[in-house]
Order: sequence, then structure tokens, then C-alpha cells
Amino acid sequence: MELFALVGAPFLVAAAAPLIWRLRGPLRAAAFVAVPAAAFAWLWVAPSGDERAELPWVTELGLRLVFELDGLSRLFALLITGVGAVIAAYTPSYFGKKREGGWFAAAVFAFMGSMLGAVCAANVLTLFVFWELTSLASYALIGFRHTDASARESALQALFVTTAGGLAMLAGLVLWGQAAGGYDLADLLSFDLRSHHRYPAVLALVLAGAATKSAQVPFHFWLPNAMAAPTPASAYLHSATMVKLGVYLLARFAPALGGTEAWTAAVGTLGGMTLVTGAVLALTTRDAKRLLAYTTVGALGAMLLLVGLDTPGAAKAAAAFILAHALYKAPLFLAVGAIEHGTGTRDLGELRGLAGRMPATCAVAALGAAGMAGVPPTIGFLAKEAALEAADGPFPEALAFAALGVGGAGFAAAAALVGLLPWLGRASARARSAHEAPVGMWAGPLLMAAAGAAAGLLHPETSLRLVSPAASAIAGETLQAKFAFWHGWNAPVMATAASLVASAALAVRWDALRPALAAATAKPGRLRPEAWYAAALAAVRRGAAVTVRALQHGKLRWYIATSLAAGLALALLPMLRSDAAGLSIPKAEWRVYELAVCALIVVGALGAAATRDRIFAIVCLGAVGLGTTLVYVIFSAPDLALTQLLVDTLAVIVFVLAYYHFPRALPQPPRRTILRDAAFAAAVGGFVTLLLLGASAQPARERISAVFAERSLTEAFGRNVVNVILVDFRALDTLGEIAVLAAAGVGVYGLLKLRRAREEE
Amino acid sequence: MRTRASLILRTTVPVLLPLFFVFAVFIFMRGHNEPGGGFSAGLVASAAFALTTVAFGPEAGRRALGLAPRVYLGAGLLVAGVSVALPVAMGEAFGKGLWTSITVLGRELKVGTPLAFDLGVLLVVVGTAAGIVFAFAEERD
Repeated sequence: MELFALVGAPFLVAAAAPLIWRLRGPLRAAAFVAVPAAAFAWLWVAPSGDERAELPWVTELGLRLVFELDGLSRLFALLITGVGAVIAAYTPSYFGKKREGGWFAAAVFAFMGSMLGAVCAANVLTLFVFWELTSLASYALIGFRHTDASARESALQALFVTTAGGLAMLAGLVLWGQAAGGYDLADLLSFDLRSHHRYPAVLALVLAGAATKSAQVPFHFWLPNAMAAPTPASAYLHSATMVKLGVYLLARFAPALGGTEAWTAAVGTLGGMTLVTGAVLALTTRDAKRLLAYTTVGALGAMLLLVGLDTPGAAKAAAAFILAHALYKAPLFLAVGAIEHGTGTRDLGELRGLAGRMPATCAVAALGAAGMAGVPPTIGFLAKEAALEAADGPFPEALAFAALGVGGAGFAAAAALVGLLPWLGRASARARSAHEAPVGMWAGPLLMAAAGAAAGLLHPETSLRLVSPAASAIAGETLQAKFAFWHGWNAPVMATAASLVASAALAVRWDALRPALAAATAKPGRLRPEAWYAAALAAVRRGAAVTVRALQHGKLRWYIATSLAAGLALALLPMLRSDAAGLSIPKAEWRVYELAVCALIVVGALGAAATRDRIFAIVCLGAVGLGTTLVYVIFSAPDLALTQLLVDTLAVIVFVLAYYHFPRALPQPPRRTILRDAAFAAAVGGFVTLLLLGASAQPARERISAVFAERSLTEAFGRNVVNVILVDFRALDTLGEIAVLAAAGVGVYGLLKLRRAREEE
Repeated sequence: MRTRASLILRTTVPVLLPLFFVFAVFIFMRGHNEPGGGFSAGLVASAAFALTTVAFGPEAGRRALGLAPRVYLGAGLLVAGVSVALPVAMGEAFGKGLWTSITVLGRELKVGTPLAFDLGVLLVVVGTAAGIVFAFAEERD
């Protein structure tokens, strides 16, 4: 029950956010902070036993809302609510008096609920739903400045990339669930997938979902572009929480999917490449936010690399790094937001000597940077040491060690660029006019960055409460993570020292090195993944344009012809394959009035087709309708007869009204058109005849109508079977039909009224 | 209307209108056991509004309808949707018919969610048909 409250409460805040935004001053921030802070407190003290909450929906399909809280879920949930509380306090100061802040808060809280749902889900279909909800929230937040075309484009790019991956993941999960016979995490994890023939497909599809969500190479390009979002969203979604969902997914499935060479090769390679790519690209940009985004890409790569290594040590390092990264990266983003607020720029080239002007923000940035560089005593240092230690071995670990070393140097250099250089030296022009950000914009980030240092100092407690339970869930066995600041002169310490020296050199010479680095990493268009995305998108647009031009031409007779021809083609194939020779015209005695009714229909139809007088054609159609009504009367279908009569009456009235302004004489079409239409009409008529003959040749026992007739009175208390079917047995169909009817009515009304409105302009 | 409708139509429509509505109610109520139902009843009522429109113009049709056609559409969808969703709130399967009986004028009358659903169908049919007829008739001016 508590878990439903945990996931549901943020959605309630989201619904009320525009109203809460109207509160004044500290009350507003307090109202936003209350829910995440309370959730954080509950998670912190929650009993260590695994919590579980369940709500069945369609049990036959395995669709259930199931939430569970184990060590890994708890670590993520604590990050989501903890960082969420800081973001909730930061947002009111960031937006100030602007009313749009309420909508921003609504999207942020909707995201918080979705993200909590995703990490607490114990059923993979539940997981998928919340997974996609986070993509939608991310879309709304990246495109939040919706008057800016590039923000809209970035939002769409992030949405397309992550939802495409999400669909691949769903396919993988369905394949897995089918084989395992259930969609609960317990079903999936207890099933021996590794020796199943579907293992490669499931692995590839799940990996596609994780790689797109966590911005792995070659899908990494969407994350830097997502920096179009307001800074609190970038800090929250695109560094601390959402982008880690891919890591979460793989960590969650590691006990069942991992442990194979394919897993280590695929996940490790993906992570290692992303780590190096992110760390190098981070040093090529002067935009502080983009720089942090690239280091986030790199950090996500490092997490994937550790999950891929698939050793107990790597699991501990991964859990520690997930925690450390959230505690240093979110404050850094928020500090950049405060810098932009105070100076009006986030161009690192223009920022020097800010420490005196913005001391509090300086402290946030310095502490955050210490975590990113892995300087003791932060948890960042312990996580990095643990990672290097886990990778300290022969091939393939040696490759991972090298990647972690290069990545660590890149991160440390980036940390110096954000955490040291803007604050030291003589104040630049921008810095001289700078002012400190309001307390809401630095108090929370400072607390979080300080927590990063405290988590390092209190590492036995951190390990006990947060890291060990999460690492146990990743490894699939109970682990005790132990950290220490000093292990003696081993390879990790050497690597750390070397990377710090390298990073110091990089940072000092950055102004000269950056252009060269940027030029070296600038690839020709064909090799850039973002260009592939653009090409794919352009191809879809071209295809859509061709299809629309071919199908949506606005000519009614061609719409009818297309629909009929498509139906004909689809139905004719199976009909031809079935036993056509078995069809025969049933022998029956024809009565005179039956022949008369048939004659009325045939003459009416021919008359409607042949006449060149519009009103006469409508009258002929009315005669056809009347004849059809009589057929229903003769064969005792009074319901159909009544409806047919009424529909035809109304149709004639509408036709008369509709054709009122048209000239009464229809144009004479050329001979070719007449022949073509006649052939087409004959084909459709012949097809319907065949269909009816085929239907009447079916043996009666296969018909469902008998079942309905039998149950109509006993189960639905009605003697009129037709109506009982419409409003009871098949009420869902009818609901859909009246929805279509209503849409058609609105459509006709809109077409006529819009045209009129245009004409009046 | 540029031209006036025929004298016969203008004379008979006011007499026929109440009959149409009574007939619509009759068809609607008997629909559960005899030929009829919400769809047919909706068509009968729509025919009444269409005749009014042909005889006296769209303004008269709109007056007879009372509310805008889109209100009928929305109300119909809402009533139908609620009537199939209501059983879920009562712990039953989606779309299951719930029945109870009430006493009206000393006679027992069975009412249930399928009846409400049928009413929704009626309202949607009236809203759609009347909306289309009015839109076309207003084109003529």
C-alpha cells in the first residue's frame, strides 16, 4: 500500500502544481518539497524487508500493477526523491514569478512518479509503461521552451530515440516472458534464459532499450541536445535519474542475462566506447551545460561497463558509482544554472574570477567537481577506486581498466574546467557584474554536494544502507561492499594519480588544446550518428509525403474506389484459395412479390447510375433503400427493416439538402470513364454476391447467432436479440461505433463551417 | 431560406412533430424486447428535426433541438461510456449489464445500464444527424 502512495503521490502533486505555484514565497517551495522529502524519509527508515504492493488488471494477459522495493529499487528511489526534493526547492527560485513554472513543476512531478514506478515495478509490463511515461515527461521538459524551434526538435529527437529503443525492449521482454510463462520479474529472473534459443534476440533487444535510454554510443547524441531543457530538468532527468534507467534495466536483469561472453562483450564494449567518447567530447565544448552532458554520457558508459564486467567487485563499484554520480553531477548542473542566473552566460571562456561574487555557488561547484574528479574524501573517489580495482586484471578487464583510466582523466579535467577555472584568477567582464543566486538555488545543491563528501567519510554506513543492498541485487547474491581510502601502492592508485596529473595538464592548457581536440573529433557527416538519425527522419517524412499525396487527394469517388478495391484484394485471395467449386445458388421457389422487390432494387440501382438528373438519382437511391427494407421485411428481420427505412429516409433528406446548390444536371462523363466505373461496379457486385453465397454455404452450427439467441433472455433479460447484442453482449463494439459516428458528425460539421468561415474572410 | 417550403409540409410538420417524438420514445422503450432501440429511436427523432429544418429553416430546427448538436454528442458518449464503466466501479466486469427495477405510476419498470447505454446511442445519433442536417441547411443561405 505504501508503495502505491509512493508512486501515486507525485502524480497528485503534478495535477495540483499550477495551483501550488500561486502560493507565495517559502510556502510554495515548502508545498513542493513536502512530498519528495516525506517519501525520502520513509524510504530511509523503511523496514529492510522487501515491500510489495499489487493491483490486478487483466490477469489473463499477465497485466498487473506490481511494485516491489529491494536494495536496487531503494537506492534509485532514494536518489529520485532526494534529488527531487532539491529540484523542487530550486525550481521556484529558478523561475521566479513566471507562471510557466507551475507547468514545469507539473511535468517534473509527473516524471518523479513515473520514475518511481519504473524502478519499483516488479512486473516488466508495469516497468515498460512507467519507462515510456518517463520518456514522455522528458519530451515535455526538453521542449519546455516550446517557442524555440531547436528545443522542439531536440525534444522530438530524444523522444524518437528513446521510444524506439523502448519498443525494442518491449519486444525483447515479450519474447522473454513468453518463454518464461509470466511477466513478473520473479518469473523472468528464475527462468534459465541463457541456454534458451531466444537468448541472443532478447539480449540484443533489451540492450537496444538500455542503450537508447542511457545515451550509449551510437545513440549518445540526444543527451547533449536535451540540454535545451531548463536547468533543473537537465540536472534531474538528464543526469541524476532518468538516463540511468538503462543502467537500472541491465543491472536488474544481470542475474539472468549476464554471465555469458556475449553479455560481457556487448555491454562492456558499449559502455567502454561510450565512456571514452563522452570523456573526450566533454573537453571540446565551451558551453558548461553541454560539457556536463558529455561527462554524463561518459559516466553512463562507465556504469554500463561495470555492469558488463559482471563480477561481484564490479557490482559494488557500479552501485557506488550510481550513488556518487547523482550526488556530484546534479549539484554541478544546478551550479551552472545559478551561474547563468547570476552572469547571463554559461560560456566557460567568459567566466573567470567568480569566487568573490558568488561564494555559495562556488562552494557547490567546487564540492561537486571534487566528486567528479574523484578527490578524497568524496564518495566519488571511493567509487572510482572500486571501479579500477574491479577492472584490475587480464584481458578483457585490462581494456576496461584503460577505458576507466582515460575516462577518469577526462572527468577530472572537466571537473577542473567547471569547478576551478571559472572561480579563480582576475574577474572577467561577466564576473564583475555578477550577483549571487537566491538561497533556494544554492542551499539544496550545497547540501547534496556535501552529502557526497559525507557519504565518503561515513563509508561503512553508506555501504551498509545503500551500496551493499543494491550491489546484492545486481550480482544476484548477498554481497558486503567494503570501501577504504588507502589500499597501498597498487595499480588503481597509480592510475588515479596519473589521471589527475594528466587532467591538470589538460585543464591548464585547455584554451590552446580545445580547438585542436574539437577539430580532431569532428567527423565527416557520414560518420556521425546524429546524421544517420536526420537521414532516417527525412526518409520517414518523404515516405509520409508520398503516401499522403497518393491516398489523401480529397476526391471522394477515389476514396470510395480505394477502400473498395483494397477490401476486394484482401478478401478475394483467401476466397480464391477456399473451395470455390462448392458454391452454388441455393434452390428456392421464387414468389411474385420477391421478384417484384428484386426488380425495384435493380431498376433503382441502374436508374441512379444512368440518369443525368441529380434529384432523380437521389430518388432512385431511395428506391434501392426501400427495396432493401422490403427484403428485410420478407425475411423477417424487422429490426433491420426499421433501421434501413429510417436511415434511408434521413439519407434522402441530407442528400437533397447537400445537393441543393449543385446544378440539377450531372455532367456527361467520357465513354472511357463510364466503362471503367461499370467494370469496377461489376467487380464489387460480383464479389459481394460470392461473399453472400459463401456465407450461406457455411453450416448453421458454426454460427454464433444461435448462442446469442439462446442467452439473450436468460443472461441479458431481453427478448430482442438484435438490440441485446448491440447494447449488452457487444456494447464495447457499439461504444466504438458511436464514437466513430460522433467523430464523423463533428468532421462534416467542421468541414462545412470551416469552409464558410474561410469564404467569409 | 431563399424559397419557402410547400404549404402541405408547413401545415403538417407541427402536427407530426409530437407524434414523431412519442414514436421515438415508444421505439426506444420497446427496443429491449421488440424491434426498436436507441439507434432507431435516434433516427426517428433526427427525422423530426430534419423535417422541421426543411419546413421552417435551420433556426427552427435548432430551436426544436434546444441545445447545440455537439452537446448531444458529448452527452451521449459520456452516458454510454459511464454506463459500461460503472460496473467496474461496482466490482463487476467491464460492460456487464446491471439491472434493478423501479416502480413508476404503480407499474414495475426494469432499468439497467444497458438502457442507459442505449440512451447514449440515441443521443449520439441525434447529435450527429441533426448536426449534419443543420450544417447543410445553413449552407443554403
